[in-house]
Amino acid sequence: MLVLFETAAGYAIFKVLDEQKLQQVDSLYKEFETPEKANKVLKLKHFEKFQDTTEALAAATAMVEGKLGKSLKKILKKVVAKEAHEQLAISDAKLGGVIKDKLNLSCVHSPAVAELMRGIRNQMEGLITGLPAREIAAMSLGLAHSLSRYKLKFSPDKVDTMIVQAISLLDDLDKELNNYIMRCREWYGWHFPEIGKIVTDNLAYCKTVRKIGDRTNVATTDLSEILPEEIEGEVKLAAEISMGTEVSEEDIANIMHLCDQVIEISDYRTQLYDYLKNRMMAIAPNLTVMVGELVGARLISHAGSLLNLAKHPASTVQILGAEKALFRALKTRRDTPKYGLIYHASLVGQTTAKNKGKISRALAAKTALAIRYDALGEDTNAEMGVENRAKLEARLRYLEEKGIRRISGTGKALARADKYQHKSDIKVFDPSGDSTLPTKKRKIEEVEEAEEEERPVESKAKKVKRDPLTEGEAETETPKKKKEKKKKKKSVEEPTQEEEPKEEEEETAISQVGEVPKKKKKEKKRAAEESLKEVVEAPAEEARHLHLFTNTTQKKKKEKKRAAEEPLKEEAAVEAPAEETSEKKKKKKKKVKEEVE
Amino acid sequence: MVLLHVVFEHAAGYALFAVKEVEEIGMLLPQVVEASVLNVGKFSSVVNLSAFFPFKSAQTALENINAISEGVLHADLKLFLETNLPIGGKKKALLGVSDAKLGAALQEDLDLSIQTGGVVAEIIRGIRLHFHSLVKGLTAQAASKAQLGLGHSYSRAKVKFNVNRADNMIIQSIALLDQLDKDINTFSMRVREWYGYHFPELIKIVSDNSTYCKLAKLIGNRKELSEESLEALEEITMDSAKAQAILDASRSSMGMDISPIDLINIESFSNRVVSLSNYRQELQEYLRSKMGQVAPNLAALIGDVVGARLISHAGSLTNLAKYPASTVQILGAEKALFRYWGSPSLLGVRMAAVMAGQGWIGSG
Repeated sequence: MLVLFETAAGYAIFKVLDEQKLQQVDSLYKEFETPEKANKVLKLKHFEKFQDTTEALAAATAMVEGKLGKSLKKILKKVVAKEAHEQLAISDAKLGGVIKDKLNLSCVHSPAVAELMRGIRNQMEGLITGLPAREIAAMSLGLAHSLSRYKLKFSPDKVDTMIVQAISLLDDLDKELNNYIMRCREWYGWHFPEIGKIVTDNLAYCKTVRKIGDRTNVATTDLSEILPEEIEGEVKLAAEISMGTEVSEEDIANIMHLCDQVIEISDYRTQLYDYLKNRMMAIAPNLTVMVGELVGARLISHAGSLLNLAKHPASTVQILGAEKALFRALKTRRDTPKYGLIYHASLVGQTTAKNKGKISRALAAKTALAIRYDALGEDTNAEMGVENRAKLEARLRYLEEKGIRRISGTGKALARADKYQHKSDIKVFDPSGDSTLPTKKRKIEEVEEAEEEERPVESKAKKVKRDPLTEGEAETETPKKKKEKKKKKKSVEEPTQEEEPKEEEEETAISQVGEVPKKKKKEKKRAAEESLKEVVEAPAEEARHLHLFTNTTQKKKKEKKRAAEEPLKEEAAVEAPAEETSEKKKKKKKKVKEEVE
Repeated sequence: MVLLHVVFEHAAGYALFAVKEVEEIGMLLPQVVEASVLNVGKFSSVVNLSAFFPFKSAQTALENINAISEGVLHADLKLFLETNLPIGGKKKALLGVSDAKLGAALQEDLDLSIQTGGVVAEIIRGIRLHFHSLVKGLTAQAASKAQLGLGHSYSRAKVKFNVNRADNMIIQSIALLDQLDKDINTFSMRVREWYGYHFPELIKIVSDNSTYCKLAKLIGNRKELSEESLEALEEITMDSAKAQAILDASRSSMGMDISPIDLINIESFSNRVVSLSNYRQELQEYLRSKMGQVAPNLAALIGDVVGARLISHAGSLTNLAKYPASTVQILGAEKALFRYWGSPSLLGVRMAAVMAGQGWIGSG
């Protein structure tokens, strides 16, 4: 009987010398207590070593999956050729089945076989001669690593350790390059000091020095590819009247070698930067699109790995890199920093100082999403990043616009304008001043007006409560208001119960990033509500008519409340127009107004 | 009626001025001339430029000024005067010169009547004051630059400045050598780490930095190692056993796979490190030769590097020469020395003596 034994180093085929021993399963282990005894039971027929770890890996994976690997097939064929009648003892039953199918070898698997295997494993070094233990150990280690990597579907492209390394090397190189360049400038400055002031760019300086050598050669050298014309002219001029010393050949040679090194190192630096860009795009494309390669790489390096970075909440991403300032502020109960490494992203750099904080927060939020997509997502395209960036840029433009509108008046006047609007909720627009002709209708209106004025007084109390809440919203209300001028108050049919969710919605909406989604939401809600088609209260209608120029949502809420409080007032029975568009409403209002007058 | 010519030497070149005869100056009294000197307009009406000869290069300027300082007539000056002054004839031209010795040489050579001192001195003072308004086409900037350059080269010549004996290159070189060592070490560590992701066993086999970098460059992807590369490996490592060990280790390595772009990057970086270590070798050679030129005995006695360090520590070779031997002995161990300096006990002195062994001399 033959025994097939797999090791990390290769396949071993043993021949059982004494089959009787196999019958006593329980005492089989005794046979393998010493190498000599083991050798009496088994003899090594053939040992097929794996060439390298790749082969070992292929064999191991095949075995694990229960398939017949190439090398195994080869060795078995050899065996079959010699001793087809023998049975083959194997440790894996599934494998046995496959072998039987493919190669027509009868396989055995039983407790006896299992004990046999244990024994062999015990005395492996003694049985498999010609294989030093060290080699087996090395092979098993290599195989273990490769197998685990294979199982994890480890891809060398998605490794971010190189990014962390590359960014730190980039910093090191910059520092060293600066050092060498300063040394080069000093050395050559003894010979030709003027050129140091004329040629400010470091790389150009080194290239020029490399080409010129001794300053007596300046007149004859052509520097047009390195320097622009006027600088070249200045250099040539300065060389004539230079006050530097003479230098020996050796010194010049040394300086030129140093310049060579500098030039090579700065070439490598550009190469490294390209490599970094490449890797960033391969590993984290969305992050790259959002904040740029350098900032992205620094973020990854700061967190340790892409996966670690993905675990951070967006607020942490926002202030990564400003930990010292953060904890100092937390300890002393001051304002925490608004940005860390993210400050260097192009989106934050573009904005005015006022809006940097807002953009930084928004950017951090979207960036955190991008990072998680990159780290944990299946596919690696940058669509999501591009979309988000577009959103952020729109928001940026919006913020800038708002700023511009504010600046157009005087700062203070505009601010007061907010408050003025605020107050005008309470104040009532008096159309009576428009026409000088006294009419009956006007009188009724005046009466109604008086009543309206009472109501504002009542609801003022409630308004006061809402003030602190809404003052914060006042800022964001004004643009909303302006935008909503177009869509005037929609129907005021909203019942009270919808007030609450709407309030909540508005408050949460204010804290949202984008105005657009909020407005859309509102519109949707309004459309839904309009379709309900409830009867409008006359006072509500009047209120709408009177409050022609005050369209804040606060007012709407107030009206709703008023509407809720006085459900039974029936004055000018004007039917609620079931209008869909604000333009129609406007026209209607105008009509009503004209009627009144 | 032009009576007097005055020759004026400037860093930019020679200038010859003609002095017109005016009533007061006709008297040729120094005091009177002095008064008119201060007023540019008045002065320029009296004195105007007759000829100007600029120096061709810094070299010729230096030669001329050397000649002047020694009171020798330089060929350029001679030529200049011959062309611009009316020589011979019945009336001898009167030439004012600031230096008496030069004047004597001129008189002898060119047969001119020379006048020095007195009114000539005053006139020359005036010329110096208003030089750039008298000489058109020479900007103040160019003039000052010329003066600066000439001043430096003249001083250097006087001081007998020998380029080859300059010790500042040594000080710089030793500093650069230290820096290069540090950098090469840092970068090699980095290459080891990067390549170690792919082929960790190589680190244990090869411990030398530059050899490792060369090997990393040669091997590239360890999977492609085969018997053919054994020769190349041996060439780098100078050891066939190691080469064989590398080959074996590459087969059973536990390192991960590496993408080609990473490999390219590692290769370029190893190139950088190798070239830096080559440059370091060159720099050491350079230092050796410099030390041989500047301080051969010092180099022969204690070696180049230690000698260079001593010079750099002292600031220059002459400074080092001023130190007593005891200071030289402990140069480099000052920190340890002064820790025990102030202590009154005998322990301090003994410790100081022990510490002295730890100076650069002791370590060399």
